[in-house]
Amino acid sequence: MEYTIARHDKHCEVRIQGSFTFSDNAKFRELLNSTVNDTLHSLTINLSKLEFIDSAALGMLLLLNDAASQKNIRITLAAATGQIKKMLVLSKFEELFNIED
Amino acid sequence: MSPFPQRKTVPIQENEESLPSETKADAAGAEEMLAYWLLLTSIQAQALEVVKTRLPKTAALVEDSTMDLSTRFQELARGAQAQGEQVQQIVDMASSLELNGERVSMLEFTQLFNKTLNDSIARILYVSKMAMTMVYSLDDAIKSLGDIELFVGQIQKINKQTNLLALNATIEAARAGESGRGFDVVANEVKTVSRDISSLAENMRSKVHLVTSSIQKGYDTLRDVATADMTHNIISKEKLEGLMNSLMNQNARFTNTLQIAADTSRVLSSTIGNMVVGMQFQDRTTQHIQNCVGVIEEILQHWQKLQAISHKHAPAVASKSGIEKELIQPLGERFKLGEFKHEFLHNLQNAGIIVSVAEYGGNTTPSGTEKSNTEDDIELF
Repeated sequence: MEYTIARHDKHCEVRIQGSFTFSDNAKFRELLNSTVNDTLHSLTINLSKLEFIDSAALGMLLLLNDAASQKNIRITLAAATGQIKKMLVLSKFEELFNIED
Repeated sequence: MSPFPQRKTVPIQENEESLPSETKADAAGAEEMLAYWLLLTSIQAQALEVVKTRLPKTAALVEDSTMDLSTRFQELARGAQAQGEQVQQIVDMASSLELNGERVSMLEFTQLFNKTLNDSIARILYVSKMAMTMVYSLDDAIKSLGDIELFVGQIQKINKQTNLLALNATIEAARAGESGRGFDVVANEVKTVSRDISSLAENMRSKVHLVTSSIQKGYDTLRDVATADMTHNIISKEKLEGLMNSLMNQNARFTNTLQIAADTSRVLSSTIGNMVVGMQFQDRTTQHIQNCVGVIEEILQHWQKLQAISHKHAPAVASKSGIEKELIQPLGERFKLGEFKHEFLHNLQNAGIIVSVAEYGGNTTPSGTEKSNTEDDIELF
């Protein structure tokens, strides 16, 4: 997994690409720590370049959601396609996140 | 009573010869016509006699057959109704399933199935999330253990210096001679303490190593818990939902077809019921036939009167014959059933119109025997 972070004042957009699996846990924690803070209001994770996601990665997204909720940050998962979109639907992520096409 | 007791020609007029030739010719024509009429009515009467006796038998036959048909149709109607009920039972069964001794509708079953699937997915995600929390906690623990190793290293470094200081103190104590003896004892004590600290630090280092490698194993276990199989389970939910939908659709089609079959059975049962009711009107046939028989009886009475009058007033004409064959043959052919023809010919023979039934291809055995009945039955088909 590779990611880029773009900050716009109180909003932050993260683009993730490649495969997002268990082995990315350290990298994802680093991402979490560098984005979620008291000044942030909303976080968009763009998944258009993501090719594969496993259940551990879904677990990590849930942890990110927990951390963000504590700081009242809204998370949007955007532009998921194929297997990623299917996984988000099956996991009913629309009940926890904003989902954008 | 025989209307033809004798076969001799009796002159109508005593003084025939005295009449003019034209009048004589007219009288002969009228006589011939009257003879023809009388013979025709006699033969007709015998034919009507057959019809009169046969019609009530026909009515009885129709009644028996109708009753029989009606009974069979009633059985058929009952069968169709039972079939309809059975199919309806299947329809009811098809739209529900038995689960732990309770009837569950297909809709409830699907809802239960989907809920179970959603619950498993939710559980998988919960496990993944918890596993990742553990992973991060273990990361923190490993980091702390790394710090502890550093601290142990620092302790060992300090301990080395302490040991060096003790050695220096021993050297300085020897140089000081007798007055340095006390320092030498202290320096040796410090050396002992330093050795103890060194071995303790070594123990700590190996224990920390042990904990780190245990945590590493736990970390690998968590990786297994959090990944591959769970992903497949989530994807398989989609397949199961597809299967379930296909099952529901198939069941809907099945139920629909069965419902049509049940409806058809009901329609069939009702149609047959109506047919049975329709058959009960067969008594009208009997009434019609009785009516016909009454009319025929009336005609026959008039014929008997006519015969009596003819014999009284014109016995010669009434006994005139010669064209019987011409009249009887085609009428006899009209009785297609042997039994009927037989009875007709015997009636004619009894009435004295013909001498022998054999002359007209009739059977000499009496009519209405079992044998001829059997023949008739065969002729019917």
